Amino acid sequence: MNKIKSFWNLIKQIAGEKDYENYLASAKHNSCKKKSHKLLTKKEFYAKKITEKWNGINRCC
Amino acid sequence: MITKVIWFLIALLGAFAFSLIALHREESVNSIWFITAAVCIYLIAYRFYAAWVATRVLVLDENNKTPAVRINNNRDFIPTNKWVVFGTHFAAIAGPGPLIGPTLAAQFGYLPGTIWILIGGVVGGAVQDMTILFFSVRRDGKSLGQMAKEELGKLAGLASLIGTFVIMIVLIAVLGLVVVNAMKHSPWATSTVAATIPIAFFIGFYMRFLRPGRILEASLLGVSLLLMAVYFGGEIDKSELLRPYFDHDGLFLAWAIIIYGFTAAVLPVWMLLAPRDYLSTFIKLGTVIFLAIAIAILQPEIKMPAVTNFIDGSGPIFGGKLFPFVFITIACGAISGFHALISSGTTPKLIDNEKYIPMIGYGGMLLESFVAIMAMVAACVLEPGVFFAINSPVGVVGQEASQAIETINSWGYSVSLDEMNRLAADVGESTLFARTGGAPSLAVGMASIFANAFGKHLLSMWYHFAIMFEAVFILTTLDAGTRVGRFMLQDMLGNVHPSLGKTSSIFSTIFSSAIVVSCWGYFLYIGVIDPNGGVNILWPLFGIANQMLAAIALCVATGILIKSGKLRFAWVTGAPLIWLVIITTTASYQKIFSEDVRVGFIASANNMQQQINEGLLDQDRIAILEKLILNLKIDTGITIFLVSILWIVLIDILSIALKNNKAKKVKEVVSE
Repeated sequence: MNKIKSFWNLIKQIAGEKDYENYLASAKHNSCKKKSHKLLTKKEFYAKKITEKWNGINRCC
Repeated sequence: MITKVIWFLIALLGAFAFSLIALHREESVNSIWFITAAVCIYLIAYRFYAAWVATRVLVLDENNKTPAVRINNNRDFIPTNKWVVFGTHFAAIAGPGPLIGPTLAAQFGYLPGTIWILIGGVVGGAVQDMTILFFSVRRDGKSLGQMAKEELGKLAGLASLIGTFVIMIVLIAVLGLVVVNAMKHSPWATSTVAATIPIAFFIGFYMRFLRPGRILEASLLGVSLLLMAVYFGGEIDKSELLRPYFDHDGLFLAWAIIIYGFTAAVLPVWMLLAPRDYLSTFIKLGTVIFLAIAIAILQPEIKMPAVTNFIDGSGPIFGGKLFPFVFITIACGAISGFHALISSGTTPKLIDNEKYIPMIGYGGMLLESFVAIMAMVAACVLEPGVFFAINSPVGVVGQEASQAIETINSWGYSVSLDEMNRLAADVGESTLFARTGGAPSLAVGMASIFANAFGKHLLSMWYHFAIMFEAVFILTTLDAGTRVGRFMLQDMLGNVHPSLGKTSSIFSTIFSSAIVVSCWGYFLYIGVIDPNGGVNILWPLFGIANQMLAAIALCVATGILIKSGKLRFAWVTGAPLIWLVIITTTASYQKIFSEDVRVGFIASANNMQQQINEGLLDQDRIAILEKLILNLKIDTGITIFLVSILWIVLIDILSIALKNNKAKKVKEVVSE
C-alpha cells in the first residue's frame, strides 16, 4: 500500500502537482533569510511557472 | 559471479536476437526479436559503456554540488527527484521525429534503419546527450550556444544559434506537412485534429481559473475529451451535413495550419500551448507504453524485407542512396542535435546529484531510441506494397490509383486496388493512396497492431486515434517551435532596434511571430504544391540541419575533453563527430550537386526549367514550377550555408586539438 502511495506521489511530482507544496516548503525554509518576501498564491504560482517554462527551448523534435 | 553470468546471458541473447534480424532473409522475422535485440543492447551499453564514460572520461563526482543545489533559487534552479527529472527530460526530447524518421527510412528495408537506430543511439546520441548534460552541469547550466561561444569561440556560438533557428523553421514546415497529408480529404482526421484546439482552450481555462495546479485531473479530463473527439469524428464523417465542413484539400489545410501557428504563437501560453503540451505528453507516454505492450502480446511478423532494392537511390518516398540518406533520415532516435539544447537547457538546472547524469542523459536517449525501434516495427508490419502505396507521392506513382498499383507492382511489391480500397474502408478513409509524410502509414501500422491485440472491429477507431496522437504532439512542437523561433528572432532583432527585442511588446511579438510563421509557412506551402510530396526535400534538409547541430554539440564536447587534458578519450565524442561530418557533408554535396533530379536541387531546378522552356505546359503548371525552382535555389543556399558553418566550427576544433592539448584550460564549477 505504501509503495502504491509513493508511486502515486512520484507521478504527481512528475506531473508538477507537488510544485506548489515544494515552493511553500522551500519558502518556509528560507523565510529566516528573506522576511519581506511575499508568498504567491497557488494560482499566481502556476501562472508564473507556465510562463517561465515556455520562455526557452523545452520541446524537441 | 552470478551478476557476471546474468550479463553474459543478456549479451548472448542480444547477439542472438540481433543476428536473427540481421541475417534473416527468406522468411518474415518476428518483431519480438527487434524488441529483444534493442533491450539487450541498451542494457549492455548502459551498464558498461555509459558507466565507463561516466567514471573514466567525465569523472562524475557525487560529492560535487550541482547548480540546482548550489543556486537553488526556487525558480529555474531547483533540486529535483531523479525520476521527475528523467520524466521531464524524456518528455522534452521525445517529439514526433523518432516516429516519422524510421517510418520514412523503412523504404530501404527494416535492417539499415534498425542498425543505425541501435548503434547510433548507444555510441552517438546517448553519448552526446550525456556529455553535454555533464558539461552544462559543470558550467552552472549554461546553454549549448554559450558553451560553444566560450569553448570554441564566437563563431561556434553563432553557428549553434543559426543552426537551431534553421532546424526550427524546417522542422515546423515538415511537421506541418505531415499533419496536412494526414488530414487531406479526411473529414474524420480533420475534425478530430480541429477538436483538439477547443479542448486545449478548455483545459487551459480549467487549469488557470477553476483548478490551478490540478494537472493530472485536468489532463485526464482532456484526454477523455480527445477520445470522445476521435469517436465523434467518425460520426461527422458519416454525416452528410457536417462532412463537407471538414473535407479539404492540402492547400486549404496548409493555410489553416499557418493561421493556427501564428495565433498559437501570439496567445498567452496558458491558453493553448501549455494545456496542449500536458495533453500531448500524457497521450504520447500512454500510447508508447500501449504500443510496447501490444507488440509484446501480439508479436507481429515483419513483412518488409531486410533490405529493399531502393538502397540504390531510386526510392519513391525520398531520393538518395542508402549511404548517406538513411543516417540523415533517422536523426531523432539515433542522434539528434536538438537534444543538446534540452541537455543544456532545463535538465542541468534540476539535477540534484551528478551521479544521475548517465541515467537521465544516456538513459533518456536510449528510451527515445526504443520509441524509434517501435516505429520501425509498426511501419514494417505492413505489407510492403501497402506501405509504398500509402507513402509514394503522385509525382512518382501517378495520379490514378490503378496507375499507382501498376507502378508499385512493377517494383516487385504486390498490392491490389481491392486490397487498398478495403484497407481504406476499414480505417474509415476514402483513399490511402499518396498519403505521404509517414504519419498515415505509421497510423495504419499502429492501428493494425492495436486492433489485433485489443479488438479487430475497431480498426478505424484505432487509425484515427493514432492520427490524433501524432497530430496532437506535432502541433505542440509546432506551437512551441514557433514561440522559440520568435524569442530567438526578437533576441536578434533587439540588436537592430531595442523595441523589436522586447518580448513584452505586442508589436514586437506580432511582428516577429509573423516573420517566423512566414518562414515555415513558405516551406509548408511549397511542400503542399510539390507533386513529389514535399517530404522528399524537406525531411533530408531537416536531417542535415539536425545532424549539423549534433556535430556542433560534439565539437563542443570534444573541445572540452581536449582542453581538459583528456585527448586520449577524445574519440568518445570525436568518433561520432567524424561520422556525422562525413554523412552531413556527403548528403549536402549530393543534395546540391547530384545529377539525379530526385536528389540534387540544382539538377531538379534545371529539369523543371527545361520543362518550362519546352513550352508544352499550361500557365498554372508553369507558375507552380517557377515557385518550386525558386524553392530549390533557396534550399541550395541553406544547405551550402549549413555545411560551411559545420566546417568552420570543425576547423576551429582541429586548431584547438593541435594547439591546446596541455590541459586545465577549462573553467568548471567544482564545489569543495
